[in-house]
Amino acid sequence: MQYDLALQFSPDLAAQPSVADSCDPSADFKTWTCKIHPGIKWSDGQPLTSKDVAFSYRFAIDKQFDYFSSYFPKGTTFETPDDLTLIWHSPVATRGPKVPAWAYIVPEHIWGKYANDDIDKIKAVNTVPNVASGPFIMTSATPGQNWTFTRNPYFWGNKPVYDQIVFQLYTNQEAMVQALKNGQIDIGDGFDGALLPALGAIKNVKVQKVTSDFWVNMAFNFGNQDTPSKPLAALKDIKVRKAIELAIDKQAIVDKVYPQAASPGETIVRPLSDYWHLDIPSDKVLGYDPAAANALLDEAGYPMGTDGVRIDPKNSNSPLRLRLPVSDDVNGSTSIGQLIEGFLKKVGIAVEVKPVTAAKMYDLQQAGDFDAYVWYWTGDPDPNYQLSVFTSDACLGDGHLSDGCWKDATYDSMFAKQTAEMNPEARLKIVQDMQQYVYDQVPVIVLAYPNYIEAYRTDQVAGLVPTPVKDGYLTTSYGYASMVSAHPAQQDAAPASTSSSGIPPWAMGLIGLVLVIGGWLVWRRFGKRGDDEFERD
Amino acid sequence: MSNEISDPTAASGAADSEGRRPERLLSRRQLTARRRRDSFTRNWGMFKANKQAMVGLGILVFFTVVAFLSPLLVSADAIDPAAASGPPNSPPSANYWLGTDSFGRSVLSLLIVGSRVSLLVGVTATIGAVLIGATVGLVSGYYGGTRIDTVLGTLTDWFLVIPWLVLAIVMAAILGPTLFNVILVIAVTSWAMTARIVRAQTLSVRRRPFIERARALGASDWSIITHHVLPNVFPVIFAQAVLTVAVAILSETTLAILGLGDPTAISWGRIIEEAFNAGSMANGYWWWMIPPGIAIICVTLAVTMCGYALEEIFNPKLRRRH
Repeated sequence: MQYDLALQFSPDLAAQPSVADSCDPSADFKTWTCKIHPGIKWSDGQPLTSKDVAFSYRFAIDKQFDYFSSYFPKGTTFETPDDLTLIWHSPVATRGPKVPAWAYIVPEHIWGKYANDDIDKIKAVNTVPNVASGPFIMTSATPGQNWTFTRNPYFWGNKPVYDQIVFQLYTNQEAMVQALKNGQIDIGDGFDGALLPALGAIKNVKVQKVTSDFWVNMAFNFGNQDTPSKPLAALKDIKVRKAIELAIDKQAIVDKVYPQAASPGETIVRPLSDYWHLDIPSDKVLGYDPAAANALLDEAGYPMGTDGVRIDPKNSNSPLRLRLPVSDDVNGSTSIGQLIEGFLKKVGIAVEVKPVTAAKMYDLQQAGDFDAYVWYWTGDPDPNYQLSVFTSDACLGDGHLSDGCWKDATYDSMFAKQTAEMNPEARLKIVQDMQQYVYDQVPVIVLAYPNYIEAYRTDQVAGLVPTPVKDGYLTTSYGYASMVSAHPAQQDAAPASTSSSGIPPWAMGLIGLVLVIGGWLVWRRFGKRGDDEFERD
Repeated sequence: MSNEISDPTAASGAADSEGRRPERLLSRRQLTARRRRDSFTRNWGMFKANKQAMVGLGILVFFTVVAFLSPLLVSADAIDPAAASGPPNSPPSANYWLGTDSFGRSVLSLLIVGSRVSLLVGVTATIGAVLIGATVGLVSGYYGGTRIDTVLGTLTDWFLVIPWLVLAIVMAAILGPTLFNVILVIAVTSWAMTARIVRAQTLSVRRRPFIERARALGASDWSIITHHVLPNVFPVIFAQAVLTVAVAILSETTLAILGLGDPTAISWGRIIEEAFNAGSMANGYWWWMIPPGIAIICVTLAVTMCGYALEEIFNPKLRRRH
């Protein structure tokens, strides 16, 4: 809402002009030329130039945010022949600018002094009001409580209707429902699916179930981390993993954990990326079938013990037992853990569910100190990032993204092929094959695609536009268009009325649009790293 | 039989001139046992006369029986989220007397199973708390005025003054959510009151002449504390322990509701936590949230009623106030 992308997401999640009017590739897709829109100014009146864009991209690359590698292949450089031209040189063919590159453009004249600082140090810098180019700038912040955004007088696009938007943090879902009910907030964002009945019962509230932008997964540990880890050998056996997938009733997980607010999981590309998402053909689906799971485990050589738990010959004949940490940061993950425990008990696998904090989960993932875990993923609408986290490269180094460090040469070569393929149709075929391959190899089990739930007061706010168009976000996830066009609902009812009854609320500049952001309730964009808010706000 | 107490007036065992039957020769142990039995009968009589106490005891017996029989009353499948077959979040009906939770499990089954952990934690944590509290109180009181007393007294004060919930949350978060840790946390955070009361009682007991006598006869501190002070302080400890059970059960509930309980053990507090997380208040799933609350209220109330009755019995000063 504050910062712009060079190209931004269009209503159908493709790239459309933003501060850049266009970005065009050379024939080999190694050089892109972006034309910056003339006359754009920062909120302090300084001009926004191609140098700011180049600075921002270099900044992101220098600070080594792993997820930016989807846009900037190693060795990417930027050139600014004039204030309105950015030339983007990549050593390999790339479609980065058109993903579009999800790296915000920040002002070089403000941020330049941090360019050489350590990222942890920069996170502590507090700048209010800040200098940005988007429709709103942050004018006051009380971390942990609320953030106030005020209209940016220099914004280059349509003038937003609201003067101010306040983000209020709720750490309690029921309190947020009450606030919406009492009209203290106009929009609530990130509701737990369990609250749908309560939201539906409130008069004048419309619920938006956003097409699933996430997938909740059960990931197995393969122990290929750089550092010594503690994997369970049995899980390297594909039959065991398949048996586990067969033993889990995904529909029951949806019905009991996300009633009416999710669909059963399938592939690692979520439904929001509908162009790329593959529906697994029915003959290849590993549907719920505990009998088949039992048979598969018998066949794989894990005989049932007398106490109903199978014996693991690969672990000195001790009981087949999984440690399953679940992150309390993910809605419903403890319940999912309990269900998995129940399902796997029926096929003779003992599960030890252990809820941990998100930070602890990150440590376990980094150290490979788990057998399987329940977490979630999200990413760009373009599948590149999602697919990249399953490559062998995603296991390298500190802060690696891979769940359990599955390494597979076939998959790696498929990924390299889809990266190099610039023809969308040809690429689609590869991307679908990759989804099928991951589904067949079961390095993770995609359990569910939960919906993101927003709700707003129809008697208070109108003009919200979803992104993507069909069942999209009404708030800021993929851009600020909705926040620019939003206006008080009264305008619809009486467009011609001119203050017949005192001051209309929007003239007072104190409209509260309240969203839950951050906190334990919310899915963080881009998966595993917690340090992205600063860059991406 | 060197322990025999010989009564010179009844040495022969025959009836004396006034026709009273002679007391049989009793060993010291038998004598003590009889004294205890008498005192028990007397106290039980007083307890029985107290209506509140009897109601409380009745409730406690009921819940204890339920807790012990829970494996017979509820099958393991009925509380397995994956195996539950009921309709999720349904209000009370003929099949599900107290409705179901979001997994479709019967709330009544959860309540019965939950009684086990709630009572277990309540009782074990109390034993822990009372062991710590009584030891600290006895030692501190017996050595009243010395440096040991000062150190233990300060420690007790520290635990009394520090907000227990904050301490409990920090400890539970560090130790991790297992049943044992929950018990440990509750024991560690709720012994201070017992220590205070036991110390006060010990201070008064140790000034009594028979303690002086024992010391004059050469009894060691250990023997005086265990043989003379402890039996005299014990009623106070017992009454205090009963009251602590209520605190322990409430503490377990509090920790569970805050998400610091053992997530694999179903207790009443955990049922409330799950209900809360599932938005049962906003959604109006009262049947999921209220029954465990009522169960907790009943048990803590019952324990408190018994505890106060015992306190009155063991501490005559309290009786005079009526």
